[in-house]
Formats: sequence, structure tokens, C-alpha cells
Amino acid sequence: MNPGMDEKNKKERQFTEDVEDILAGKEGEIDETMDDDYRSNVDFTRKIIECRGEPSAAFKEGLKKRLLSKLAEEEIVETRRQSETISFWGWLKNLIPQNPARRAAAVTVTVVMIALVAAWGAGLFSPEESPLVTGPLAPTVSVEVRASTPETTYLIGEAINIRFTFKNIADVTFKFPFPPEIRIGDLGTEVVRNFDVGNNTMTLTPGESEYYDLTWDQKNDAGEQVPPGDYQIIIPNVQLGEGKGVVSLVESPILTISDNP
Amino acid sequence: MQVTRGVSKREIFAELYEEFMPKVFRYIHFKVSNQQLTEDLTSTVFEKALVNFDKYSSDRATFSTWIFSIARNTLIDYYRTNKMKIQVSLDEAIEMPSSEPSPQDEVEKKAEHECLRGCLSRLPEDDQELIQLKFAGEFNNRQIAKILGLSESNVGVRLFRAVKKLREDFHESWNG
Repeated sequence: MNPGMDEKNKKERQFTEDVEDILAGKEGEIDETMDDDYRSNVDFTRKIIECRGEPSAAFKEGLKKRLLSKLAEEEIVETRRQSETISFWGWLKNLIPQNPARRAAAVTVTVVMIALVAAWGAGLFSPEESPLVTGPLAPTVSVEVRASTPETTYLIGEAINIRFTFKNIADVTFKFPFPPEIRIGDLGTEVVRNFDVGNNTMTLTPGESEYYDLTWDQKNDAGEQVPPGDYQIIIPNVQLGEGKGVVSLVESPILTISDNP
Repeated sequence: MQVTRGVSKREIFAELYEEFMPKVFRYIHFKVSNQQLTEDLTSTVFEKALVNFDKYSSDRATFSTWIFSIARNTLIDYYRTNKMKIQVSLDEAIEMPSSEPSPQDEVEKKAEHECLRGCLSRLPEDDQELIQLKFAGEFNNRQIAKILGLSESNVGVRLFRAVKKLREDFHESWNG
């Protein structure tokens, strides 16, 4: 190995050790063979440590109390839910007759009832199908948002650029917080990533459009890659004052994340 | 997150909070400087951690790596929604609440700290991140290497150089 390189690495290894000692509150002697540049660097780390901010005791305790009481509430809800589930199954068990003949009859009745409900749900008993009502957008939507992406299928880890186009379709000017709250969710009920509402305001005159570009790195709120699957873009409706309408997402693609190139 | 028999989720979370909250606070404070904003963002980080605590798996990452990735994302989201880079202001430093009296040397110390934070914000992003993880998060080089996707020896080399760069910029700024 190059002796110069080895010496340099030694200096940097030693630096890490000295910094970790200082962070741990251990103040050892600096190796005498080290040069002035090295000593200045070690001394300077004390200044960096000195300038770190510290949380106040009130903040530390206040936040802890808030988080733990939230956790306690969740535990109570979970315990209640579990006991309700147990009692529901107990109730259901009691409904099932012990006699085999009666049990067979009960199963038959249940199957027939399920079939009738399914047939009713499929519209088998409806007199005729209602015509599809078409017409303009609901009058409450005053600012429509359309989300678009260059592709709809992405490889895992690939950045997804989403363009949101906002258009004022009403005949008055609107102002609303910008960018609005944006969520990425799976096709069920789980939201995987939240982008908080911004601190800016957007003003749109009648007929005016604006756009906003967002890049989703395919990570969830915990900073982890989301699993392959289908995802949707969600913008919760933003009310524009009483009775004036809403900012609403009217069009958005389903995004597919695939691990298969 | 797996709960060991006899230890409640609350106890585990409380213990992790005690250990990591000050580190996360320091990490954010290096970046935003303002005390109130640091408190708000630290609260956001731990609220997110609480909501996702059931999904956390110690087999995949240590809690420190997990909580700091939440902190990093929270800062990224904050910058994105505010569309600006927080600039360190001397006025803010002097206005920062303090339980201590503020004699001249105290004010000067704060100004010196703000100058240092200003120099830190001028370093390349990677160097800033390295210094924050080392001095605020108190991570060892192996952990930093894992978070930043570097080799352990490279972390040592880059740390030394980043501190040197910061020191030189600070001396130039502070001494005029």
C-alpha cells in the first residue's frame, strides 16, 4: 500500500475516533504526531457540538405526554374492538343449532337468502334499467384539477412526475391554499404518502389555468419504497367559502408500480 | 413493530422517544435554526412515527435509521411546500427565547453559532447531511454509510474533509 495513503487514512480514522470520544463526553489527549491541521479540525468539532440546539424540558415533556395519550386512546379502541369481535363470534356460535338436521336446514335457508340478496343486488328484480343521466359537471365544482403523468406504469424506484392542472370553471375569481393537500393511496383505503398543504395561495380568475408539478419518489411517509401494485392520486376537496364550490380532482391516472422490467 | 410479552407498546415507544427525540431535534435544528419551527417539525416526525409504528420492523432497519429517514423526509416536504431554503438570520438568533440572562458574550456566542449554521448551509448537501448525522444524530460511521449509501471508510474521509471545509469557511466569515 502507498505509505502516504496509509498515513492519510490513519489520520481520518483517528479523527473519527476522536470525534466519537468528544461526543461521548470523553476528552482524551490528541496524538502528538498529528499536525496542526488535524488539531484545528478536532478543536472545531467542539464548536459544532456547542452550537447544537437542545429541546426545552417543557417541549420534551409536552410532546411525550401528547404522543403517549394518543397511543393510550388507540389501545383502548383496539381492546374494545377485539372484545366486540369476540362477543360477535360467541353470539354467532350460539345461533348455529347443535342438532345435525336443524343445522342442515339452517345452512340451506342461509344459502337461499344469500342467493336472493345477490340476485337483487344484480338488478334481477328491477323493472327496467334507469337511463344513464349525462350532463355538465356538478355545479359545486368550481376549480377542477386534472392529474397527469407521462406514463402509467413505472418500474420500482423510478421517480413519478405528476402534473396537476387547476382550472377555474366558474365565473368568479377564487383563492385557495396552494399546493393543496395531496395523497397517494392504494386502491383500497390505505394512504401511503401525504404531501401536506402548502403555505402559498393560488388565485385563479374565471377560465384561468395553472399547473403544479410534483415528483413522487415511490416512498411512503416512513421513507420506504412502496410495494409493487396500483396506486391512485387523491386530493381531498377544498371548500371555497360557503356555497361557492370546491376545488376537486376530476381526472387522474391509476399508477402501476411494477418490479418486472 | 413486535411487542414483547409483558412490555406494552407505550413503554417501548416512550423509551425510544427518550433516546431519539433530542437527536432528531438537534438534526432538524441544524437545518432550520428557528426554535419554534424545530419544535413543530420534531412533533411532526414523532407523530408520523407513532402512526406508522406498527409497520416498523427492526429486522429491516434499526429504529435510529427509520426515525431519521422520517426526519429527512419531513424536512424535504417542508422545503417543498414552502418553496424556499431557510436562511439563517442573525436577528432570529438574538430573538431566540432563552431562560438565561443575555449578557454581551451570550449574544456574541449566539451570533457565532448562527454564523456557523450559515456556513453549514453553504456546504454541499451531502456534506451537510454527513455533519448533521454525525454531530446531531451521533451515528457511527457504519450507520451513516448505510443511510447515505457510502462505504464506511469513505464516510471517515468525507467527514474529515467536510469539517475542514466548514472550519475554513467559518474562520473566513467570522473573522471577516
